[in-house]
Amino acid sequence: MEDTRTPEGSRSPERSVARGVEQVELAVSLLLRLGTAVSACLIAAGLVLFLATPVSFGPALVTAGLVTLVCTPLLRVLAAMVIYLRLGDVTYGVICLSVLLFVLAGFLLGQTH
Amino acid sequence: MTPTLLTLSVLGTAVAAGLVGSMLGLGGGIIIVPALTLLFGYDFRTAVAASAVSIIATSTGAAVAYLRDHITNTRVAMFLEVGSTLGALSGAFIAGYLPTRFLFILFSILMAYSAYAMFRARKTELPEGVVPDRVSQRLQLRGSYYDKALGRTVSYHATGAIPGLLLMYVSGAVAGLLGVGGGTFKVPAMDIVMRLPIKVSTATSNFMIGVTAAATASVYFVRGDVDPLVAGPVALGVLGGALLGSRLMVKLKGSTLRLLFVPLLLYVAAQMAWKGVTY
Repeated sequence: MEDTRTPEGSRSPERSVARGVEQVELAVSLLLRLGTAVSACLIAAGLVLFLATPVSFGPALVTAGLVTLVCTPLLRVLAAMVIYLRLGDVTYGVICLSVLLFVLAGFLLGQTH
Repeated sequence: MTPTLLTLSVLGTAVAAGLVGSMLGLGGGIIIVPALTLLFGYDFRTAVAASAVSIIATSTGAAVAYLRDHITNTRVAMFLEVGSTLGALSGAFIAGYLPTRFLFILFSILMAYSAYAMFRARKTELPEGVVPDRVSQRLQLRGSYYDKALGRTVSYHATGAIPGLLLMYVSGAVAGLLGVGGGTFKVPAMDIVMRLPIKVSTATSNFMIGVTAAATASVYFVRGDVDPLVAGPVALGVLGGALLGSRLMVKLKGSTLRLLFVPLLLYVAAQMAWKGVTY
């Protein structure tokens, strides 16, 4: 193992890869943080309302939080695909697209089974 | 038990599951399902649906810290997700044509072998002398991260991209066919075949499992198996546990992480062998 970080910007393809990875990771990280925060708040609020108050929409709020949580990983694949394609990285754009299609097909297939 | 006490107990169990799952790169379903059915008396469908949600919570909760520390390799993850999602998809198609008992026994042996390989490499902190193959080079399956336990930056390169992809396909199909061991199989595959540092394998596996579970969880949602009053506290607790676990894991040594894996793999191997024998 090397002890030093590869000097960025020494070669131009290296630099563009590093920048692409950075952009994708930044967007994905932001999306995951947002998804986590929104779903955790909705679930917590829903549970507190259900347990401590007589209002009836507690479980519905929890469900909204759970749906947000389930959508988050798919949105991050979508976001990564858009960024890869915008950066001209067709290979990874296609990789992300096929993942999304397989997940969608799995969902549709699972529904009928 | 009062509803509040029950919710809090489920929440507490979920925190533990999130902690373990996020540190070892698996969904924590091996804790959630037995806990909900045996400890709290929920039926199997509700427990499995809550477990699918918990996999997403582990993945999402832990990914925040792992991405910030650059331990997750997003390229490796996206590439391998092609295999795991396609595997999960085709698992349903081929389910009727494969001898389930044989599969259970086969995977039990594979898991036991993984445990042995992990144990043998227990003193290895980082993989050495990795020669990247052509596909790994073409897809730039490499990266570097700052290792907090070692106090230095670690650069690595993957190898065996195609065998790795095939194993992810198998892991996805197995998770679909046998209902167990999807996440548990991914980490040894990345560790042993793709020769990635153990922390990268764990964090990347963690990142990947959320996508496959999203398809499964949406199916359970449509079927009405997701009980918000069970899955809600599970998701919340697991998110909290995963946030905590991911901060803990980056401070651990890779060799410690390996040792934590050995009993887990042996447990899954025994569970699969038992299911195969009694099937």
